[in-house]
Amino acid sequence: MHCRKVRSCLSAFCKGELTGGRQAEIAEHLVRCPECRREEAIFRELGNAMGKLPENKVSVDFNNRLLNRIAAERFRETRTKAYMPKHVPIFGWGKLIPVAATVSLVLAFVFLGGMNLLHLQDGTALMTQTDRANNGLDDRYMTVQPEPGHALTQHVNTDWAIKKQVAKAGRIRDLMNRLSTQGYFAGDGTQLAGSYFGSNDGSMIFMFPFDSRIMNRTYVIPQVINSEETR
Amino acid sequence: MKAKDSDKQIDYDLMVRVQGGDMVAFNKIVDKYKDRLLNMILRMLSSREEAEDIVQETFCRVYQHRNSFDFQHCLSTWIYTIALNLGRNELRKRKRVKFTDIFDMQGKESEISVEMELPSNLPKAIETAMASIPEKYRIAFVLRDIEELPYEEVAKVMNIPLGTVKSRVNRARLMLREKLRPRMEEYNALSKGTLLPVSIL
Repeated sequence: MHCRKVRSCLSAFCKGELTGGRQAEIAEHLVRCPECRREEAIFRELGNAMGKLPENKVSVDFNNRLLNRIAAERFRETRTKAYMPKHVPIFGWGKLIPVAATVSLVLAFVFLGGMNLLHLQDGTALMTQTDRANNGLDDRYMTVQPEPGHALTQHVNTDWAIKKQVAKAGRIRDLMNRLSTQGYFAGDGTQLAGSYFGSNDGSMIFMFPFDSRIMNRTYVIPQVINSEETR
Repeated sequence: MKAKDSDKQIDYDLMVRVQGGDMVAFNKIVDKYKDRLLNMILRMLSSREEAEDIVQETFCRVYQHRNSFDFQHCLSTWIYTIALNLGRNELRKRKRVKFTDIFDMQGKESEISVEMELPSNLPKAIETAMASIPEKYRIAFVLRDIEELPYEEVAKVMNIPLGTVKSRVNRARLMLREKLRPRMEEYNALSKGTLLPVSIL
């Protein structure tokens, strides 16, 4: 075996990596060749020095940093799941619907309630054409049993709607009394409205429609009120 | 051989626990491999911060892909492969970023061809010499002679045939020997006749 060939295998020989036959051949050559023996010694020394190479170590907080990073990545992963979406919409049209409904209800309540309150406060307001037209029976009146006289509202429930109706009824009664004393009604048998009627003898009777007994009777109003004259 | 098998079995057991979400087992794997990986990557990149970042990234990948680990392979092979690929990517990035104008090199040929100065300390001289050998030989050499992985495992990690690994390792040793020749001969001369073990079967 030539020295060149031996030297190319010396490192493997020193590590014991060669097959049995090759290992023996080189060993035999080394007995005879001092130059190759010197090379072998250098390789062995190199091998020893490799084992003495300084070993680098990671920094002390390496594990903590790594585990923190993994925890952060796991958290990021969970954010992509459905129960915690990445992009939470700050404003959604879906939320606007209940808000708009609530606002419109509040506005309607304030506006219409305010109008009604104005009506209540304005005790001297005259009955308008619309008022007369809308003076139909209201079931809510059935729950209250009024007493005759001016102190009609003192026993009435304090509910604002009923108060309003009572006040309106009072105004109608006053108006009818005024009209009857001034002789506006002639007896032609025409029914004016559900709430006020005329008697058969020509005098005007106002029936406040709280009393069911009175309501069940038929009243004939002698003459239609001329809307122009009532003003 | 038995020790190797039991080591493998320990790794498998740890990995099964990691797949079940056991962070203590993962921490044990980290403790077992972190320094080895650092040494390997450090010899590739020569930058401690970058090497540590790559080791960290390696373990992150191990954790992320823990469920795709194939128990037919060694855990160490898998971990080393990930680290090696990350290290190679880093080297590739460096090559992309570094631009050298060939016209700037005119007249500086003598500077380039200057022989490197080896430190007087032998381990340091070996490190310096190792850094100067080509990457493909260096990686094979580090994995085999420093990390002491079997040739088969080195072949799997580097994804090259076994014969190629053997030849690269041998080539790296010879290159290293050549680079360290003056230092080793000096050392040899000092210890001649006293320390050198000349073993003949």
